[in-house]
Amino acid sequence: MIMKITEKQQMQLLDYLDGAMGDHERAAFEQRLRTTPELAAFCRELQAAEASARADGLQTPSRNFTAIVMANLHRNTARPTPSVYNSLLLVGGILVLVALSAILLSTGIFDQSATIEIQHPEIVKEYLKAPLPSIGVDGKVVVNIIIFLNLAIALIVLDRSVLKPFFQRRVGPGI
Amino acid sequence: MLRCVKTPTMANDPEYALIDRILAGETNLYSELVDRYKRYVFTIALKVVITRPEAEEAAQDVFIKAFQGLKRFNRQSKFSTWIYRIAFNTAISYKRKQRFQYQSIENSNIGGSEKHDESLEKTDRHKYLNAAMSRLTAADRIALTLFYLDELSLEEIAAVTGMQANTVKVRIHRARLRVATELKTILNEEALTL
Repeated sequence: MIMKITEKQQMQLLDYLDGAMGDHERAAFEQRLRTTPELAAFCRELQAAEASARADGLQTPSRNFTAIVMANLHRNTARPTPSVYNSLLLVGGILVLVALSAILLSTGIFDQSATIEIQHPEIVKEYLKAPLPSIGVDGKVVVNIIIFLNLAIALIVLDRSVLKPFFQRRVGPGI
Repeated sequence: MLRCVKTPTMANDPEYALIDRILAGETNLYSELVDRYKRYVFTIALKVVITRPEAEEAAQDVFIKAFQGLKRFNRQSKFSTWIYRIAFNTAISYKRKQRFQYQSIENSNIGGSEKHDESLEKTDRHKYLNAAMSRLTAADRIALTLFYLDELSLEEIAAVTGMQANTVKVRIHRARLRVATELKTILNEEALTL
């Protein structure tokens, strides 16, 4: 029959390994270890894990670490770039918008041009001597400009938030 | 053994004189602080972000941030506790940035040395231990790492990880047990694939 090690026994085991038990308690626990193979096995596993973890110790960074830090002491550490995931979502959204605009454009929905009248009879009469000119708006040109601006934004986001960090990571830190 | 010692009197921290000189304009002296703590800061970063290049970059950021914020260091704690706290926060923010990147056990060489003369047994031990530790939360991993380094008291570990001081001991206990259990599971899985 396999005996389950209770939480209390696990805590006692840690106290035992930490040397936090009194002589009497320690002797009693050692007796239990001799009579409970599962507990003894878990004790060995725990000791092995602890030994490995302690041996792991401190890790050493690259040799030129201090030099790189000292050379960059006045660098701006603020990193306002959004995460790669959010950036890709944004780029995806922009591309969907551009695609929809292009489809609508190809159907001829924006082919009409309009004129914006900025004349207001009372204002003209009261403040202006000459009449204001009318502004002609070509829907196709406006949508094309919007598409172009969106593509430019998508390219910038892709470069700053995805491509640049990716290649910097490949090259390595401090280079 | 878990230590619950009172932190030394802050006014006597030997680093304060050095910090005063750095703040007075001798910035080149900051390299002494970097040299003194770079392994600790790098280890903390590595335990959180997993990959060495990112840990290196995060650790460099930690020292740059610490330098730029040195004036704001209020000396209520030891310099080491303060910089480890910055290291923990910086590493967590790096981790958030990389959370969508796939990390497999095979390429996660947390703490893995690149020395070629390292024995296969030691490399495997590192790999399995790191895989077991990677199943803990970042805060537990750091708490456990600091505990094994045997440098900080429980109160200081709590200050670094942002945990409540009275829960640190319990969380470290649980993390130790969990690592042992996870390590056993991983080794059993490895044995089955052989």
